[in-house]
Amino acid sequence: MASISIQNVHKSYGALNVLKEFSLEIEDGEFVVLVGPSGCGKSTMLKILAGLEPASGGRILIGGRDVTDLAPGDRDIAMVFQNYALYPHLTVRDNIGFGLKMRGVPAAEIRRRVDEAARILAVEHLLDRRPKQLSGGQRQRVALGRAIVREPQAFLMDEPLSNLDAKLRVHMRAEISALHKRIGVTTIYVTHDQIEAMTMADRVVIMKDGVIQQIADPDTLFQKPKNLFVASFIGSPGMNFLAAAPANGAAIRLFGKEVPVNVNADRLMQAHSNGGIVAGIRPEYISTDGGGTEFIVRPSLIESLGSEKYVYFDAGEHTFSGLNDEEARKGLIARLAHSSPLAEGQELKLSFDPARLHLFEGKSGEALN
Amino acid sequence: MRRGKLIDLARPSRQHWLGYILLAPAVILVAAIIVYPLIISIDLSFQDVKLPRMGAPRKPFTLENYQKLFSSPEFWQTCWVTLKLVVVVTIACLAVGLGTALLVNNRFRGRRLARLAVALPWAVPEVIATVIFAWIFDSSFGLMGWIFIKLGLANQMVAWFSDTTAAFWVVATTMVWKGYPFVSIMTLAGLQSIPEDFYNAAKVDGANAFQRLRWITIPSLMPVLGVTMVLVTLWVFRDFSIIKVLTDGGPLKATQTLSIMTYNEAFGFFKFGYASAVGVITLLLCVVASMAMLGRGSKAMY
Repeated sequence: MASISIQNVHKSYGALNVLKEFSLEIEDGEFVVLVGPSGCGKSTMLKILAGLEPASGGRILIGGRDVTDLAPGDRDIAMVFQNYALYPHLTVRDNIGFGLKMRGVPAAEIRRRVDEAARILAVEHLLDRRPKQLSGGQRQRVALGRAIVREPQAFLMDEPLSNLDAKLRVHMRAEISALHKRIGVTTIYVTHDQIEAMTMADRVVIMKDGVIQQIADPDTLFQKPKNLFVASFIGSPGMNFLAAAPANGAAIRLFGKEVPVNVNADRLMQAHSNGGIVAGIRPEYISTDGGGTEFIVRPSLIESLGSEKYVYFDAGEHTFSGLNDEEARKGLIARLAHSSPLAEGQELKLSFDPARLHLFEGKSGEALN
Repeated sequence: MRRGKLIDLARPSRQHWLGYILLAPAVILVAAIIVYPLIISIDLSFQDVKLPRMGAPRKPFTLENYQKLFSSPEFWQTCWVTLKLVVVVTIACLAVGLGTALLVNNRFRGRRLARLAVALPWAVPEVIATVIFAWIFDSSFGLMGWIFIKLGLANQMVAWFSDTTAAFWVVATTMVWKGYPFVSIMTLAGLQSIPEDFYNAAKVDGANAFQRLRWITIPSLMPVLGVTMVLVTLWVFRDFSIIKVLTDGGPLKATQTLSIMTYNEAFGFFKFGYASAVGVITLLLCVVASMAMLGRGSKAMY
C-alpha cells in the first residue's frame, strides 16, 4: 500500500494533445475514481500510471519512489482490465497465480496465496476450471483475484464492470467496495459511469477532453459542481438547465418571477454579458408541494418508475441549448414521488426552493454560486 | 388460397433443400475427380495390372502388390526418407514461419513491405522456385558452392546432387523456403487475434518478453499452429514437383519420397498395380498422421 503522486503528467500523440497537465495526490488506501465521457483521457492516464504507455512529460511517484520510467512489472501495481484479460489456456488457479509465477515465487507459496485470494473472493470451487466455463461475474472475481494475490502497492481498474449486465454490475460494485474496505489498498478506478463513480469513490476526478474538471468527494460534486459540465454529468436524470435573465439586485428572472439568489448583482450582470446566466435545478428538487418558486407547466410525457414519476415538460422561453441539441430537445424533467394520477397535457403546478438553484456563466460554464 | 408453386424452397420444412442444392455441384465434382479415382486406385492395388485400360477385363484379386511392397528394402528406404523429410521440413517451416511472423507483427517503418517479402516465396510457382534452387546449388557455377568457397567451408565447388546427404538437405532447404510463408501467414493471422490486453496484463504482472512468448503467444497460437502443422505435413507428404525437378529422387534414391516412388512405379516402370499399392499406403499414413495431430491439436484448443 502506498500513496501515489501524479505530477504534471501530460500526453500527446503528435499534435494531438489527449491529456493536458494532470496532477493528483492520492493518499494511502484511498479509492479514487477517474470518470468522464469516452475520449476524455481517463484510460490514457491509467495506462501511463501502469507504465503501458509512456507519458510525454511529468512525474509519477508510487510510495515516494519515482516510477515514471519503470517497466510495468517493476512498479508493484496490479491492474484489472475491462475484458478481464484472463488467459483461456490456463485454469483459474494458474490465472490467479500467473503474476507470482512470473516473479519466481516458490510453488508452495503461490498455492497458499492463490487459495487465500480465492477464499476472499469465494471462487475456491472454481479453481480447476477454465475461464470459458465461468459466468461473467465469476470471471470478474477471478480477475480481481489475480490483482489481490500479488499484494501490490496499488490497484488500477479499467472499467472492470462495463461487460456485466445491469444487475450484476450493481452487485459487483458493492463487492469491489467491500473488498477495498477489507484490504485497504490504494485504488484508482476508471469508468464512464457516473453512478459507479458516485457510489464507490472516496474522491472523484471528473475529466473532459483531457482536462480535469473537478476533483472532489461525491457529495461535493453533487452539491457544488464547479462548472456546467460537472453539473450535467453527475446525477441521473441530469440537472435541468434554464437560460435566465438577471433581475434587480441579487436575483434572476425565471418563469416570470424574480428569484432571489446568493450571487451579487455585479457578478450576475457580468455573467449576463458573458454568454448569459444559466440556472440549474436538479429534477429531485422540483416538487408539487408548493412554496419557494412556483410555476405552471403542461407535461409532455410522464414516465412511471413505480416508486416515482419522471415528468417531462418544455422549458419554453428558458430553453438552454448550450450543452448539446439532444439535451435541449428532451426538455426539463421533474422527479416526483407523487403517486396521484398525473396526465400529459394537463396543467400542473410545480415548485422549487431557490436555495437549490445552481448558477453558471453561459460562456465559460463556471459556477457562480 | 395456396399458390401452386412447384418447388417452394422458402417453406420452413424445406429449408435444408437449398443447402443440398447449393452443395451439389461441389460434391459431384469432388466425387468425380477425387473419390472415383481413389476407388479405382484401391481396386488396382489388389490386381496385377501393368498398364490399365478402360474397359479391360478385371484381373484376379491378389495381395501380391502389398507382399512385394512390404518385403522391398526400397519401400522401407523411401518411407524413412519421407519421414525424415516430413519431420525436418515441418519443424523448420514452423520455426522460420513463426519467427518471421513474430518479426513482422511488430510495429516498424516498412512493415507492409516486410510482410510482403515474407509472403513472397508463397507466390513463386513451385517449379520456378525449384529451378532457381537447382541453379543456386549447381555443381559447376552455383551460388551456394561459391559462398562455401568464399567462407572457407569448401575448397572447391560442391557436387550437391551427387552426395546423398547433401542432396537431401538441398531438397529440404528448397521445401522450407517454399513452405514457410504459409506458416507465416497463418501465424500472423493468429497473432493478430490475440487480445492486446493479454500482453498488457502480463506486463503488469512482470512477465518479460520471453515469458510472454512462452506463456501467452505460443499457447494462444496452438489451435492455429496445430492445423498449420497438419497442412504442412500433408504438403510435404504429397509434394512432387520440387523433388521431381531437383533430384528426381536421386542420388541412389536418397531423396525418393512415397509420392516420387508412386510416380516412378506407375509412369516409369508401368507397374500400375504396384504403384497403386504405394499410393494407398501413403494415403493411410497421411490419414493416421493427420488424425493423430488433429487429436492433439483439438485437445490444445480451449
